[in-house]
Amino acid sequence: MNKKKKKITDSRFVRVILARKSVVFCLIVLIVTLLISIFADQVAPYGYDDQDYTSILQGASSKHLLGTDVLGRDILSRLIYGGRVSFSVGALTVVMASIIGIALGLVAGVAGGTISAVIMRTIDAISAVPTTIMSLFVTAILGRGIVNMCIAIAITLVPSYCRITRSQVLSIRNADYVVAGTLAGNNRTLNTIKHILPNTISLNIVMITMNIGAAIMCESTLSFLGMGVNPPMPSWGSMVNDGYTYLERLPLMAIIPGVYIMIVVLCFNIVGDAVRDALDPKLKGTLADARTKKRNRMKAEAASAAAAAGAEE
Amino acid sequence: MSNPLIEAKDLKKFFRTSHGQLHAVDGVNFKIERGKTLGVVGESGCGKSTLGKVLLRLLDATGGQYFYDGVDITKFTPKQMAPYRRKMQMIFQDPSGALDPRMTVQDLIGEPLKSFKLCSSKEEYRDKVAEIMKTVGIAERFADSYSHELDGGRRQRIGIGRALASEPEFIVCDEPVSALDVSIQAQVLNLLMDLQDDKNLTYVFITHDMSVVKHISDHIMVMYLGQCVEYAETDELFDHPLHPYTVGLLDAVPVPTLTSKKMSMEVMRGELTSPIEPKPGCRFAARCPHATAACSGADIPLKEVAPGHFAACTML
Repeated sequence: MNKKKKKITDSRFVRVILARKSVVFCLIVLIVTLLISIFADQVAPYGYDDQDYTSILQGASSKHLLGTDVLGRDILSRLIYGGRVSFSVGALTVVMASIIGIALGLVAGVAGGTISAVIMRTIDAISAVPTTIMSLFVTAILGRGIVNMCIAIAITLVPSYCRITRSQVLSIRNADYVVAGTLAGNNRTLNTIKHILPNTISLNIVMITMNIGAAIMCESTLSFLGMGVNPPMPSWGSMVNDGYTYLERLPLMAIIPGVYIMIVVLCFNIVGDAVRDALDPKLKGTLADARTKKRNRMKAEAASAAAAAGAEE
Repeated sequence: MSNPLIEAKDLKKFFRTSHGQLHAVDGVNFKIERGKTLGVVGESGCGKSTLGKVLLRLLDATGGQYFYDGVDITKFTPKQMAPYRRKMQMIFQDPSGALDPRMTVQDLIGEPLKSFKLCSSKEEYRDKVAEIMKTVGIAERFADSYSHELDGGRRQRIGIGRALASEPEFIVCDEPVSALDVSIQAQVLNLLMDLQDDKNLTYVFITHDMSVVKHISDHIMVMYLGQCVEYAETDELFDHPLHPYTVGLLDAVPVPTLTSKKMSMEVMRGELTSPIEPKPGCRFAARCPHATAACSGADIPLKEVAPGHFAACTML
């Protein structure tokens, strides 16, 4: 046996993720956006609350690449700083919502009976209230601030995780491999964690990535309604809010953060889809192989078409 | 007489349904000596698999008693069951369904080793997994594969390996070969028999295939709608089947000879009657060619027709 060097591309997870160019592109976009936001102090040309009253509501210029807002603040800089809020809200919200939701779903699915009924009816009650109203309600109780906003958004997202997890648990809890887990010496808790949880995760991964986008949107809505971050701290949502008042005079001001939100959310969704594929052992590799095969076939077809065209001439 | 490893006394398992109680296992008695195999035969829905699960305490018995090595474990709590869990294992019918799709072959085989704390170091763990893989005949190169990447025979070998990992005394084989190709069936059966010789295992072998059960069993219990209708040593049962249902099952086995064409065959007609709230009397009477008025009304007890040969029929 010759010793194999371990390369990162040996992992099937990485291979499936990298198999599609669109995914790689989205991943790069996300990482770059994230890094820019993290290192905003170094990257941004101005501070997020540096006011310049000599140039307010200016269009793009060499001094302010994306123009300035009503207080003369540089929109590009605010966009870069705004990423901090949006990314952290997205991440924190989804982490909270998924952990609580998955845990509740598991308990409801495995325990059944009264416990399940209590959990599911509570979840029904939460999801009966519209998302925005629920978040407004919670932030009104807890007060403004990033963490409170995350809690508010997370509460509205918990029901979807809980329902998805529970339905998955119900479909697999009597599967032979779960019974086999009991025979292999796991008690009920251990069996749930080792055999049931990992097999409910793939749908949840998709939910998580989709919800990062949803959370960013929700943050935007809350900021737009004035319940989000405290000014002058920018977030993408509050920037849209600031901008829409001047939609006729300076449309870029609202459109740019809006487009930015859209791009980031889209990237999260595409990457999430790829992560789901990569985590599913039954799809593992096959997707990557299929893509390569398809590409090769298309190349071959293109070549033969070119050859045929050449022959006709 | 040595002590039997497994003893069931009037074992019952009922399920509640919206139409009434479903009698999946209805008063079954048997003993299995250490190192022997009890074949349980019957058609689909007769309660064989339920019986297997009750014997493993995966389902709680509704009534009756169940002794393991002389100890009544019918009502043991999960905590009390813990020391017995290691000793009783199961081999599943569908080898792909019984293996967690997210685990590799070595994780699957190693799981019982870890959870029963059967090895003290990483090296010992690796050695033991390798040894089990060798015993059940899976090449080492499959250690990092996922079960769905392997064929049915190999999957079933993994299932057997997993069952063996905890060094059990008693294994319930729930139709372990019925999902496999005929050529692989023989390999797996031989593997099971070799393992029994090596490790003095006790099997309950559940199947609907008479030719398979003849191959592997010491005793055979024929089940019909949750009840034992005939119980005997394998050879005795095949030579002198007494219950009409057993006769029907044996007639249904294809015989590869030319002369058998001329043999008169009685093919069983009809289907299982409902196991929900069955009426007293012989449950097979509706399909039995010899049924008389005596067959209904009262339950027919098992009768010892010859030494060690029990059957439940009014004709005997």
